[in-house]
This record gives sequence, C-alpha cells and structure tokens, in this order.
Amino acid sequence: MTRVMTRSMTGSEARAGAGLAAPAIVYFVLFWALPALAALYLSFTSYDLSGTPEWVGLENYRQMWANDEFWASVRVTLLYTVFAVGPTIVIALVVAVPLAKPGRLRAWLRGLVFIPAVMPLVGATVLWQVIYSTGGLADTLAGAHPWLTDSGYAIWALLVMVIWKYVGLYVIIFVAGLQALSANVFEAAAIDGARALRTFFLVTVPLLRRTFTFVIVVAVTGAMQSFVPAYLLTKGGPVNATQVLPLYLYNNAFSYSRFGYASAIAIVLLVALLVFAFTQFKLIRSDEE
Amino acid sequence: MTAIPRRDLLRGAALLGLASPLAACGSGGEPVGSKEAGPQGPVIAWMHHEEANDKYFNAKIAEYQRQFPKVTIKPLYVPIANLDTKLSTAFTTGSPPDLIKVGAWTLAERASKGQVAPLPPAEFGAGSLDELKSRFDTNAFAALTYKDQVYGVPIDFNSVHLWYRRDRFEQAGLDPDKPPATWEEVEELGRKLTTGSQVGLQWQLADNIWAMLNFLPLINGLGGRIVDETSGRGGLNTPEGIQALEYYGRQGNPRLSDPVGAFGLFAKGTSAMLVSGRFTSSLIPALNPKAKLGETFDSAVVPSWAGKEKVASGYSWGWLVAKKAKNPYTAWHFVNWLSSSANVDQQLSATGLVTPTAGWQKLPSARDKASQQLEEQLPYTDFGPVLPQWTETIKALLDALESVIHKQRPAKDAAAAFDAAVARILK
Amino acid sequence: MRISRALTTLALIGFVALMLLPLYSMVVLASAPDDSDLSGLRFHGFALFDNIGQIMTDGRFPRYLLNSVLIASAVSVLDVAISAAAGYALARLRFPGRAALLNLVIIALSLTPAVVMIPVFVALSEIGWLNSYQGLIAPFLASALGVFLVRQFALGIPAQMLHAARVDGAGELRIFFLIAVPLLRPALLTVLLLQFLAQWDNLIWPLIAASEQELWTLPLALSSFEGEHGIVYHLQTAAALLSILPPLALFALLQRYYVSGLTLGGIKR
Repeated sequence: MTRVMTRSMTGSEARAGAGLAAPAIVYFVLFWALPALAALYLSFTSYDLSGTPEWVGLENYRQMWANDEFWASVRVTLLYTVFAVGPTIVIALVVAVPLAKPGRLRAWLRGLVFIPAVMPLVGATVLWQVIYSTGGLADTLAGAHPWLTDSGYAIWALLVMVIWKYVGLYVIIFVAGLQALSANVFEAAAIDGARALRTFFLVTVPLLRRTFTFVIVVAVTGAMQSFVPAYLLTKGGPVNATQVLPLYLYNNAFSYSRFGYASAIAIVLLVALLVFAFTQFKLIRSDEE
Repeated sequence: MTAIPRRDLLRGAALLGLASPLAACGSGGEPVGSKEAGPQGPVIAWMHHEEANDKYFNAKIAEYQRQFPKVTIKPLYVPIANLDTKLSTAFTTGSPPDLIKVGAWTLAERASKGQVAPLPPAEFGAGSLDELKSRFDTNAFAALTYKDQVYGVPIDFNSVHLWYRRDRFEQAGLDPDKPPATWEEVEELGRKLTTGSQVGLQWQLADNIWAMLNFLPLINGLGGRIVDETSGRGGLNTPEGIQALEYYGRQGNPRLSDPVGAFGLFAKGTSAMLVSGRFTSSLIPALNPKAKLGETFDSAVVPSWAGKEKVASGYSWGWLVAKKAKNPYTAWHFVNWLSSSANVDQQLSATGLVTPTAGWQKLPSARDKASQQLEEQLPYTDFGPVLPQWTETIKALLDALESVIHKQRPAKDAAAAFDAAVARILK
Repeated sequence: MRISRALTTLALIGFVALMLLPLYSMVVLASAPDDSDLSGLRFHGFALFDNIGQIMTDGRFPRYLLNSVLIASAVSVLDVAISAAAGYALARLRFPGRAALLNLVIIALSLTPAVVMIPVFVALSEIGWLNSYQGLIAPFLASALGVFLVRQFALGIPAQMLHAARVDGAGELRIFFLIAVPLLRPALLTVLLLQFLAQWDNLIWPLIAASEQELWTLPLALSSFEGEHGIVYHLQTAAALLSILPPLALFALLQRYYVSGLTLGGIKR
C-alpha cells in the first residue's frame, strides 16, 4: 500500500527524516531505553538512594521468588487484569451493537456513555471513595456492605469502578469498528432475534477480529499498569487484597527505599508487558505487508 | 560485592545532554544565625497539615519574628499522607528544609542515612545533654534516640489510653465509673457491649502506626516484643505473640467502616471502646458535637493483663534539623523558644499537642484527666521498635494483624509469616 | 420488531443512565453543605458555589490548578510537535534508524512508566531537576502513543499528494509543514487531548518528583484533602468536580477528532 517505500532512499529524504525523528529518538533513548537498562542493572543491586548501588547478583529475584507478598500481588494483578478486561469487553460489545446503528438519539447516547472514560481518573476515584463509604451510594443501592474494608469485597469494588470508568472507551471503539463493517451485516442482523444472534457470532465477531485484538491489547496493558485506583481507593488493602504489582513496586521503592528490589519487580513487569508488546508489534507491523 | 559508582553509570546513562543551567541555581548569600550573630536569616520548616496546628504555628511564627525581626520562618504544611515521601525526596535531592516536624518512628531511617543532625545542647544554652534532658519529662527523649544519640526535641507526645463511651456502658447496665482495668475485663465487657451492629472495643485498623500502638500493650504486657532490635528477630511466633494476636483477632469487627475509621465509629457510639491518645478528647466532639467528654465518653489508663505489669504504648513527634540545614542555629533557637512553658501551655490549649517539658502536667491547660493519665503512664510507656526499616517492618505487622482479624489465617501462621518477613527485612 | 427496537432503546437509555448515576451523585455531593448524607441521591441544601468558593480561597488550590494547566499544556503541545514530526517521518520517509525507532516506540507503547520510573527519578535527582517544572515536564515530552497514532494516520495520506509536491520541487520539510501537518490535524488534536488528559491525571510522578507545594498539581491536591483524622467529603468532591471540568470541556469540543483518531489503530486494515 505504501508506494513511498518502493522508491530508493534519497539524501534529502534521509536528512529530513532523521531531522524530524531526532527529538523523538533522543527522548525514547533517554527516557525509555536507557532507564530500562538502568532498571535492569539496579535489579541486581541493593540500593537505598543514599549510598551507591551494591551488587548483589540475583538476590533480589531470589527474595521475590520466596516472598508471599509478591505472589499475592501477582495473583491480585492477574485477577484484576482478567476481570477488568473480560467483563468490560463483553459489556462494551453488547452495548455497542445496538448503539452503532444510526439515529440522533443513539448519537447522543454514544456521547454520554463516553463521559466516564474521559473523566480524569484521580477525580473519578475520589468520587468512588465517597460512593463506597458507609451510607454512600453503594450502600443505598445495594445494601450496606464493607465495600472497601473487607478483603473479599475490596477487589470487586475496585473492579466495578474500573469497569465503569473504561467501558465507554471500548464501546466507542467497537462502535467505530462496527460502523466500518458493511451495512448488510446489520440489515441481516436486524431481521429476527434468533438469526441476529447467529449472525452476530458467525459474521460480526469474526469481522471485528482486528478491533478485538486492539481492544484486548490496550485493555490488558492498561490494566497491568493500573496504579491510581488501588493507591487512592484502598491503599492496596485490606490485607494486601488490592495490592497490584505497580503499587507493590511503588511501596518498595518510595516507602521502603528498596530501589534494587523494586527494580527487580519492574523488570518482571517489563517482561510480562513485553509479551503483549510483541502481540502489538506483530499487529502493527502487519500494516506494512 | 562490588560497588559500581552509581554517579558515572546513571548519570552517563540517562542524562546525556540534559544538564541545565537551571540546575545550578543556589540560594546563597542569605545571612544565617550563629551564637555570635544571634538568630537571623530564613528557616524553612516542614510539618504536616492540620488546621488547628497550622493556625497555631502561623501565629507563633509571627510572634517569634516580632521578637527576632532578623529571622523569617517559612513554614510548609504538607498533607500527612505525603509528608514522608516528600521528605525522602527532598533529602535525596540534597535540598532538605532546615527544620522538620516528623513522627519519631521515622527517625531511625533518617539518622541511619545521615540525614539529620544530633541535638546540640550548646545551642539550647545547656552545658550537657543531661542538663538539656533535665528540662524535659521522664522518657521524653526515648523515641528520639537512635543508637544512643539524641536527635530531636519532642512535640505531640502521647501515650495511649482506653477511651470508653459512658452512655454505652450505662445502656448495657455497666458502671460508667468503672472502666475495665485488665484486657480480660475489656473482652468480657466487650461481649456485653456487642449488640447488632454495635461492638465493644474496636481497634484502629489499616494504619501502620496505629496498628502498632494498639497491639504493643498486648504483646509487651505479656512480656513479649514485636521485634528484638539487637538480634533482628521478630517476636510474634512466641507464646506471648500468639496469645496477643489471638486476643487482637477476637475484638471488634474489622468490616465496620467509617471515613474517619475507628475514631468515627467511637464518635458515633458504634464502638464502645477505643485505644487512642490524649487528642481524642477534642477529636471526638469535633466529629460528633453531641459527644461530650466526661458525660458521653471518658478516658482511663491503658489496661494491663491480669496479674501482669502495666505497659502502655506511646508515640512522639519530634523537631529535627537536617544535617544539611543552611541555618541550623536559628532553627534550634526557634524550637527552644517554642518549648518555653508559656508556649507549651498555649500550644496544649490551642492544638492539644503536648511538649513534655518538666512540669508540663502542672500547666493550666494540662488539668484534664487525659493529661494526668498520660503523665501517670509515662514511666511504663514503650515507643515501639526503633529500626531504620520501621515502615516496612510495621507494614508486615499490619499484614499479620489484619490477616488474623479478617480471619484469613490462624494467629500461628500469621505470626510465623511476620517473623519470616522480619528476618528478610532486617537481613 | 418495532417493539423489540423500542425495548433495545429503552435498555440502552437505562444503561447510559446507570453509567451517569455516579456523575449525578458527584454533583449532589459537591453541592452538599456538610457530610451528613453521603448517598448522593437527594440534594439537601445547595452549597456548590460556597464549597467552590471555600476551595478556591482556602489554601493553594488556585495555584495547583494553574500548575496543572501549565504542565498539561506544555506537555501536550510539545508532545504534539515531537510526535507529529516523528510519526510522519516513520510513515512516509526513509532514514537511518527508522526501524530502530519504530521498534522502540512499539515496545514503549505497552510499557508502564513504573518500569522506568526509578532510574528516571535517580537521574533527575542527579542533575537537580526534581522539584522543578522541567523535571515535571521532561519525562513526558513525547509519547509512544502520540508517535504511533500520527504514524497510523500519516500512512493514510495519499502518496500522490506528496509525490506531486516533490515533482514541483518542494523540499521534504516544506512538504511536511505545508501539506502533511494540515492533513494530520485530527491525529494531532487526538494526541493533544490524550496527553492533556494524561498529564492532568498524572499523580505518581508529581507525588515523587515535586516535594515543594508550589509545584503541586491537582491530582496531588485531590489526594491530599485527607487530614490527619479523616476527610471532608463534600469539599473533596467539589474539588474533584472542578478538576474534571476542563478535560470534559476539551473533549466535548473536540470529540469528533478524538474518536476518529483513537479508533484508527483498531479498525484500520
């Protein structure tokens, strides 16, 4: 598709390209590539920021392996990721199918459903803190429960907020994906209930494959990076029930001054995220074929 | 073990071309105080934000500056949740404030990193440390000492008391003039005070320092310790530790919630007993104007185990001066001025904060019952472990306490997990 | 069939109402004169403007607001400039280092800042950039998402347009500024919005990198309404309400561009 690529590289093009890309190259090298290497180095050291990093080999990783709190945090992160992504995508798709149809009312609804997604997360979390407080909206609607003070409830309370926050974003992405499909699919889907469901699973879903992949990658990496909701709403508690990996990393670095150990957590997180980066990489590179 | 020079590696790695002329900005040229010149110049002082405190200190700063016009005290009131992180950042960058007011439990970390200066008796006009100490109450410097070196001047000095609701006691047919004196009685009365959603004693949960202050009298009262600082061993997986943990797990209901935690539950009367400091006498009416000290609620000395010695837990805040302070003389001068008995009295009535100077308990504002109980408890007050890794250690304690009270683990497992965590942390 | 369509519409309206309920309750809570009713369903008194007045006059809230506006604006404008240049170059020009940059961007796209936060923190402390505006801005000068979105969009510019300009003898930079930039407008506005929101919402970096209150931003201020013994909910919610208005207004204004820009990655084939 890109005819540009078939021409040979000219001197002026190379100069212009390098010039335009230079600030970004400098930025990504200084603020991503080198820090990632430095984090790798620090993960083999013991370092409290006041002295010099002391080489300890694999000690941090050994400690991590043997530490229940780390594994608890991994479990919380996995649970959080699965349930922040799965239900959000299902709800978003179910809502997006009817919402993608034309009409003024639906256009309005699309705009409204998007609002939570563009709210700043910190402001939203502050709001949910009140919603989950004793006598708050959650108590009023669903009966009094220890939403944030019981280790069984807290993670789900957190997830409800996160799903609320992001479902609108995926609705909009699915709507755009659906609207890009040929109108026939919708006409067919509108004929009758039973056929509609069949059409949905046999035609619409496969056609949306690309959108799905995109949404899943965005949602999974987003969930695995999530820090603010757990930090503000529950501080990781009770009994570490909501201590996701980024929060565990933050606590070790900035509360306990264990920068070496925290860097080792960062590296583990990095490896996990690279798996998803690889998926994304293949996805994006396929554009150029 | 090799130490690769961090400066070369990281500076070289991440900072090519980033150096800025702005980075070199210094303050320089401001006058600083000394014995000869007297107090003068700017003093940057950080403390945590609390409305009554902010108001009091602003007034005192104005008054001090009228007396010593060459001094400017620049206060910064940081929200308490961010104070320690902010201070760590400031110390890391090498530009800490001159004077800080911090929880004494963070002293060991700062002192072990060489961030704060030892207390200089000479700047207080005292011939020796002992002379300076004699101007203060028994035990006043206990929490501000690390490895036999004293670092700061105490302020907001507290031990915990047993607060109880007289109204709830009366409703349950108990004598409101006979608060429980032993932990066994607390539990027994607790059973009588538990009805529906109401409970007897409710611990202060989900908070490092308060979890420790609530738990320490239990374990130390049995003769145990949370951590043995010299051996670096955790002390929960012992008969005393496990008994204390089990007791802890039996009181109250961890699922009760309130925006202000256990304070709020006590203010509403949901809980009938609370282990807390002297400031509770003014906090509770502030949270619930219907609650009146002496009528609705009251305080008693902290309980002990039947037949065992009394142990109270306590905490102190302290005025510390950074080792890299630009104006240490003036900073200490201001602290000394704040500790005059007239100021100690005013501070107590305006903010409820105790500066434990010798004879403070005889000041007009210290006539209340809780002040007298604080004074009574002082000789047997323990301030908890003194460790550079305090935050991480006490977080492990909090995990143990919470997992027991939330019934996730038996006390024995939680105790073993805590001791293992301590071994890892203090290694 | 008409009935089922009406039912679907009704269900949709119900779903949207449920989504907006927390926002309605936010307005109720922010308007409350005290914390006596936290359910957020019924107005009891209307003190919204008193609350806002109290926030704006009490303490340094206006300063935090100003800092947020300054930093979010600076970052988003700089990011747009850098992303536009790099994204266009990646899509339409061949130059040494192109493949390496693309790989770097794609990897950075899915990394969390937490991974590189510690070394960046150490490095900035070494050069004395903590506690400074430049220290709050520099780590976010560009974004992988920004570069990536511009690149995706630039791939869609018809090759003929660029080719025609070259035939006319226009230099590559001239082509970029005069032809590509106007065509890339939706993508650039999307990047502007996304970065503005990201910075408006940035809590963790200012939390560790700005110890002086003069430099604090809204997220820090919001997370610090907590006093030593509790929170005043109606004031905190009023402050949160204030904090969400500027981004919401921006998005409402530019929603068209945002949606088309953001969905590019998902539907482009």
